[in-house]
Amino acid sequence: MSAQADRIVLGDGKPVDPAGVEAAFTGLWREAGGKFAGGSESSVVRACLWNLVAHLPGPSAGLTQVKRLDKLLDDLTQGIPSRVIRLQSRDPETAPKGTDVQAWVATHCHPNTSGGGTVNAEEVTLAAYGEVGASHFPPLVRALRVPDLPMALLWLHSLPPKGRLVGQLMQSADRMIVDSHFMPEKGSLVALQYMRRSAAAFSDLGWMRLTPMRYLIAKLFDPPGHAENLGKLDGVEVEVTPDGLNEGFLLLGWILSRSGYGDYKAIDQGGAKDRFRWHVRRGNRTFPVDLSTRTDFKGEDYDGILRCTIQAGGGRYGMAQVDEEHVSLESPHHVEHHVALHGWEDAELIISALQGVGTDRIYTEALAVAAKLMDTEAWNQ
Amino acid sequence: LRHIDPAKVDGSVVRGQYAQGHVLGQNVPGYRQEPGVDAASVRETYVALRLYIDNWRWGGVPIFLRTAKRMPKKVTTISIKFKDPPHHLFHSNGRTESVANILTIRIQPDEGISLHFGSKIPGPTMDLAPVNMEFRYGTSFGREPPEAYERLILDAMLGESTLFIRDDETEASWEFINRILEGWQSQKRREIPLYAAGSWGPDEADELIAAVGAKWGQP
Repeated sequence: MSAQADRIVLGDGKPVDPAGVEAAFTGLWREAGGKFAGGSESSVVRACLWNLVAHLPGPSAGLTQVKRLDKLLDDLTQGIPSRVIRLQSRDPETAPKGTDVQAWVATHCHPNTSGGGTVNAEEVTLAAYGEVGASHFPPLVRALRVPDLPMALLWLHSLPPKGRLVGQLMQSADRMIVDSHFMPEKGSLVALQYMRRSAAAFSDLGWMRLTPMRYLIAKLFDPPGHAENLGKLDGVEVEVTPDGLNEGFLLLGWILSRSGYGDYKAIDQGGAKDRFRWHVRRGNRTFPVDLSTRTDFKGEDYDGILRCTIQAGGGRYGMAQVDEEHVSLESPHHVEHHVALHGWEDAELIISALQGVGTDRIYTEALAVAAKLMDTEAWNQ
Repeated sequence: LRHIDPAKVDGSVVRGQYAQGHVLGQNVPGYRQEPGVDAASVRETYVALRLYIDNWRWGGVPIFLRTAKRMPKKVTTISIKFKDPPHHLFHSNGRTESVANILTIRIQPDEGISLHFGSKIPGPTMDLAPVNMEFRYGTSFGREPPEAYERLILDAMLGESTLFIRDDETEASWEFINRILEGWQSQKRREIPLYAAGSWGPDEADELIAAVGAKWGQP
């Protein structure tokens, strides 16, 4: 990892022995108490609501990814008092002699925007060298989490790998949060579908970002008589940016599962480099489902769904991205050209996930259908 | 204290032995690999018990106790989990998890008391989140209490016996424990459940507490 990325990950962290983390925190809070109220040690209260265990990308990750996650964790701790345990796997070649794992601690006090006091965060960064080092993560997390408070495992930069490390971390976690947008692997949603089953509760930021778009699409079917058309699908087309394929699959999964086509048979599949087609059959009804990618979208900072068209009951219902913040809507009864799409920051999505209970049932059903589409020849050829 | 029948010891007691693992960043060997230990030893380094006290105050309340070597950290706590109310007022919206009220007395380290309960999340919706209300000796009084043995040695020198147990208490403890040991000896087992050093114990201990619909706290 570059020196610059290392500085971002460690921030103003103070190096400590992993066994001395708690004592180091006590010392840091005493210092913070002095700074905030002229020496009164009880002036900083170590409030904590969550243990947030975040896995950070390894040495091969780009600086952009490191910066994104660092900012995200910082934003998150401003909204929720927590202990953040950052886990980072590093190249064993770069390990200091005789060291498998290293630790740094830092504390952050953010002024409370709603007035009074501060929102506090304790941060431990654990860097492990190679596989042997990474096997220290689960026992260290057990030792360092704040007692009797829930723990969320955040794996937001890639598809979590199969194996004991993730399994053991998930076993201790009350919620697993992933981001399917950053999983370019071909079978990523199939893997997520398996992983979700062993998590106490599961959230996917890739899915949560679709929420405003899903509301707008669902709204097209609100007028009397239109909801019935969902049972008579004639075709579904989704167009995405090249990095938004998983969002495309999840949107298709959502449309099919909510329209009663969750239990379908995909037949006569066909595929090309940037265009995929499935023929979905249920009962006597067969219709095409298309997913394609487009590279000519003007919004530089936007990745995801570009267009969604549903042919149903002889009518056409559609949504298309106009720019980064607006979409146009079309249905047999209604056309709107410039509708604002209210997206949420990732930190807000995570806070919302932490306040939820269990796994979103609609996501579970959409993911099952999306994984089924992804697990076909059309996609894998 | 209700005695444990030696013939039914497995229903109330789980034992285990630590295997190779990691504790606070250190690689540690399994018990059988420790110097001077028989490579086939079935000596327990972990025990979890379910106990009952047959008096009017504690009747029907299961008491779980676990102690072991090579846990993720050294910690001594007593947690009292209060009974769920018969009716959950905030269950109707499907977004609110039942949060058990738990009073935890931390004996060491970080001496103090915390009360774990559900609090309404600010805002218009009726959602609850688990929160802790904390009392810490170190924060409230600006200094940590003295080490346990500092106080005991001073009391011994002053002839103050309040914090020491009497010999009849010691004998009663051994009488209780001997029944468990008798039960284990009669089994003549050659295997013992293993747990990785740095974990909270064998799966059998989780099953012991799950039988009453509870789970171990996360100390």
